[in-house]
Amino acid sequence: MNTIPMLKTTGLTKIYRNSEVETLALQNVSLEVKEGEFVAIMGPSGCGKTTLLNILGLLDNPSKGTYQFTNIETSKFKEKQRAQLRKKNLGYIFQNFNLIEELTVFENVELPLIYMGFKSGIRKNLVISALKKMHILHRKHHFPEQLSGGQQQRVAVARAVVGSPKLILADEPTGNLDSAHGDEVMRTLNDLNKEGTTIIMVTHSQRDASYANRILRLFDGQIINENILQSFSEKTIS
Amino acid sequence: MPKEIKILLPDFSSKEFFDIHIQHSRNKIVSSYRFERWDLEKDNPNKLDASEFLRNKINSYAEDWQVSEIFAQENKTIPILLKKINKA
Repeated sequence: MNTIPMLKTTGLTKIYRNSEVETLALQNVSLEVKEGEFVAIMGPSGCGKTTLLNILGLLDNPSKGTYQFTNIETSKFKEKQRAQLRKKNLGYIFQNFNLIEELTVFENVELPLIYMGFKSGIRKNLVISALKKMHILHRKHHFPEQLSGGQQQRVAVARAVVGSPKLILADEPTGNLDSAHGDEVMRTLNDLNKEGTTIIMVTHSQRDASYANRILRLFDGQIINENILQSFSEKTIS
Repeated sequence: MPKEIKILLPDFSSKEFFDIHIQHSRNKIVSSYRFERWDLEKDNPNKLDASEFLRNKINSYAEDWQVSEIFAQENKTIPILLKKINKA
């Protein structure tokens, strides 16, 4: 594993305000994630896991604190600047898949490549390669609603990896799947990590978290504990 | 592939705990878990906020146990699952 920090936050704080209340969603979160790490973020509902993932994924800005992604300070970035960094570097996997119902499997996976400006021929090759890797190429002309949950999540993973992102952010990636399909998705994420992709995953599942190298535990918007895990291969019963 | 199962525990007070041992085919115990409740009022004489209270409790807990899961606060208690570290 590389020791270069891919991302670093210092004193990250997120406050949501409306006319009546102020909610402190994240409080003074400082963390570092190195290239090639697989980090799980755990904690009870409402503890700030998704808020943290959204900031790390450049979908939102912090209210206070700094966030360096690949040595670039991003905490004051406008949406356009965040979008530029996102499309070049980040892939997302969501609990509810977030596939576009009107587009076929092929078109869904092709979409990020269009935003990245790839030419049609290159896009086609990359999409086919990603779908093959996820064992879902035979469904390329189907629409999301014609697929099972597990198949939809495999398409979502293909979409996340098709542009070879440096970092994949996964928010409860197995939350809507049965255990067999959940295992399939986790094995895929594990393989991607072994190939060098950095992964940050929010999860409630201890089993999913067991694939990670490190677990960060959040409570009331603060990191309160961290565990380094042994590699997954060492966890089988001898 | 490890399997994740759910089991029911009887209700209990913050002074009690459950130890759960995972034994492999009557042979060795492969892992042990402890489930307890930490009381934000009774165990917290300095009136720390919940996060600081948890941090202190975790750091001062016996070294051969580590946190496995922190559950949502129930009234004034925080349910905690700890896992015993197997030393080689």
